[in-house]
Amino acid sequence: MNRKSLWIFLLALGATYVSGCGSNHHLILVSISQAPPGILVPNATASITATVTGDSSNAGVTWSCTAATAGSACGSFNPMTTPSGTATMYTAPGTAVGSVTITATSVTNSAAFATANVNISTSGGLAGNYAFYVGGLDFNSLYSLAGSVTIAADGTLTGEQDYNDGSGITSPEPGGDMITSGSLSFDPTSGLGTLILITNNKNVGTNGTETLALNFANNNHALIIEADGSATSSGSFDLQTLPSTPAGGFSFVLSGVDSGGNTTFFGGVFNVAGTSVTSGIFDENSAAHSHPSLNNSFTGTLSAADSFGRGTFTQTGIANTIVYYIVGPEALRLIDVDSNSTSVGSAFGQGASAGTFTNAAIGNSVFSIQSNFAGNLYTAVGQIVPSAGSFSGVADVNEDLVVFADAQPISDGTFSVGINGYGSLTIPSGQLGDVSALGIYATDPTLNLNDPNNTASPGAGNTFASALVVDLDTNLIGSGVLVPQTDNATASFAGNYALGFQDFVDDGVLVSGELDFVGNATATATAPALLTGNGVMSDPFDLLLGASFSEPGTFTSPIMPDTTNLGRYEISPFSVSVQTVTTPIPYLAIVYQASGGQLFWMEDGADGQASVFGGQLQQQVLPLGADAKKAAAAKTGKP
Amino acid sequence: MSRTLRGLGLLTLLALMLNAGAAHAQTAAATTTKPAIPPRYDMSKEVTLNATVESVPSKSSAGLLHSGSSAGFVLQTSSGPVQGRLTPFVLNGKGAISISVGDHLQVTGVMMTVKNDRQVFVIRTIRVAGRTYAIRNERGFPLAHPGQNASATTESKGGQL
Repeated sequence: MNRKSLWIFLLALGATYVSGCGSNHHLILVSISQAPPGILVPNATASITATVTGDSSNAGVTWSCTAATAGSACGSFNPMTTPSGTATMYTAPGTAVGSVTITATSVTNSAAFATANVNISTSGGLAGNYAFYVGGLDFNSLYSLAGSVTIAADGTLTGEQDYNDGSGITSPEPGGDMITSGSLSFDPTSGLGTLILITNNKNVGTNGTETLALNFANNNHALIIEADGSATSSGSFDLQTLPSTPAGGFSFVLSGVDSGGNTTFFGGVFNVAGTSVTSGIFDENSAAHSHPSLNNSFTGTLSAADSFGRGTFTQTGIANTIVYYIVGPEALRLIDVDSNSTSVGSAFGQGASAGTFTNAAIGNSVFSIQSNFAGNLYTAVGQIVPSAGSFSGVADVNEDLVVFADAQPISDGTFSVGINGYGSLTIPSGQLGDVSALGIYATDPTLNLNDPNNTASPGAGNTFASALVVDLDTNLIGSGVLVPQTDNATASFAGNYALGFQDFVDDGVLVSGELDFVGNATATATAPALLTGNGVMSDPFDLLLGASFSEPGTFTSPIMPDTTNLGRYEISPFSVSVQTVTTPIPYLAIVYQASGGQLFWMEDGADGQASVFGGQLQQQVLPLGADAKKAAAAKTGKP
Repeated sequence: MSRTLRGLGLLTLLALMLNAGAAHAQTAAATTTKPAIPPRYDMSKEVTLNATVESVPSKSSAGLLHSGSSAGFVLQTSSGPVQGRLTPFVLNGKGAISISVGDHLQVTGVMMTVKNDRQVFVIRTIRVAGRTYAIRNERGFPLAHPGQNASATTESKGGQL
């Protein structure tokens, strides 16, 4: 029984006592057997059911409500009176009035009642500053989007953003776009929701309005996709700590295309001291050049961040202007805002490890890398066990149209990490398709690269570093992460997860484009191990015949642990049913487990689909939104 | 993979002493890698075809679940039909190239075998209606802005098929 249910139970118990005293002979008990969600957006509806026992006349209950804010509307019920066990339909008021108490009162004895609370909010009860970034495909080119929103307690949303496809749709610089209004709404029981950003730039989204689907992993972090038909992409939505001042060592990665339309990735390290960027080294792997360019030194200038945490890097030689948005002192989102090129990525701090990295910084790890849509399409995920500069492991690769390889053993791999965190990792040629040469850029061991606010995992006690990764191969250009593998036990892959994937589709002759999916699932570790969930599929390029540009998707798939390679799983089949498509998408998927809280997955090339997807599964901390705040308050005894 | 070390400074040498395994990481000058794996797209094998468009992928016939249900981009050449491989950016978006059934084209590319032993002509440039579009670069990577890589003259390399 969760705290909300306990609260309802206690109220009902109280009602029983009162009812019993009043009637002497008839003990009438009212309980809320189907509670409303903890949060509803204005005008939303929810079924609510009350159960009455001890009422010999079977008269049922009458529904009523009150808003915590005096004089505010609290909503309506249809019907107003229901028999025991029959639902009424509650319609939330038209404005975000905050807390509303719903009461079911026995018709026979008004002293018997039960109540439930619902928060009417456009932001799920969440408030604060959030940074977001996505990268994907619009109808011009690859595009990048990063920004920040401030969500007030009443759900009011404002912010600023930078959109850039390097091919005609670019936010006006130096200021970017203003987000004049919008809303955040989500289901606190699943974390699935919608972020609407209304901007002053009519060229982005649908006439200036961007609609993004997101699924919260916790109150501070959600996976996010754009899903409005104008573009599709994947990224992250994270609580900001403002103000924060970047300082010390950082590692970074950027993914995009150059001014000629060539897929281009950058990765490297740098230091920040005041407004100066020093000691920078970057690798560049661009399709425009026959070989990657390594060890390029750079410096630059950092401007102070504004109230949304937005500032700029200039004079780096990587791009004329790179805008950053602060997530926290050790996490920045980056976006190239030059009008003729586009790229997006992140920079993460190195913390106390800056200047002291050695090969010993890399422990057992899971890596995940993926191209962008302008490159030779591929995804690779694997796990490694290092030992004094060498490593062994196992990995999967899916190179669309060319080759796929499942559970490939890796032996005699080598890696090195410099004291500044700049390093490399080499998989012997031919062991993993075309994947061989990776640049790795180590970060603070206490950071979770996929959820920078997550202080619980890996946590302060972790000693092994994560790293950003750029693929420096000839045929493959991509980026990703390498994170410590702290728990590969099969029993740990269980519970509720937020998940997402970015799917690049190209059959070479007919179908090409991008799909993005975000949603949630429940994983069960005991037989039958299943991954059951739902979410939103974004498909502006009509890759799913008959599907609209965005619609719900569901799946129930078996989880098959790899008994030879602990921490590796096959989700086979991973069949995603999309509402308007009669046949489920017949994916197969491979999962690698860094821990029970963080897993990476990719499309298994054995499914024969002309596509490659990569993504993450992140364990959820429930309840979300205002429910979580209430739970926290209950713990401390505060109202 | 070998990496060239150049321009090592004092700090670099110190770092090298501390961690020889990370030698490349400490260099101040840019280096490039040698290819560990031969490139997929071999420009030396390029040929130029004069062709008539027999089939163009249409959006209505597309669909991930229905891949293969349409002929795709088929070119009729003097040697018979050829399955042409475009890039994701050729027919989509504002920079799309207008190509219709019956158009006469000149395409330059390489015949390659892809998954499931399919033979496809991987197209690097397309000349249509007096303009030449580079849809891939010389390494065979797709170019995201084919419409911006157009020229009024054509440049042919390789032989005729």
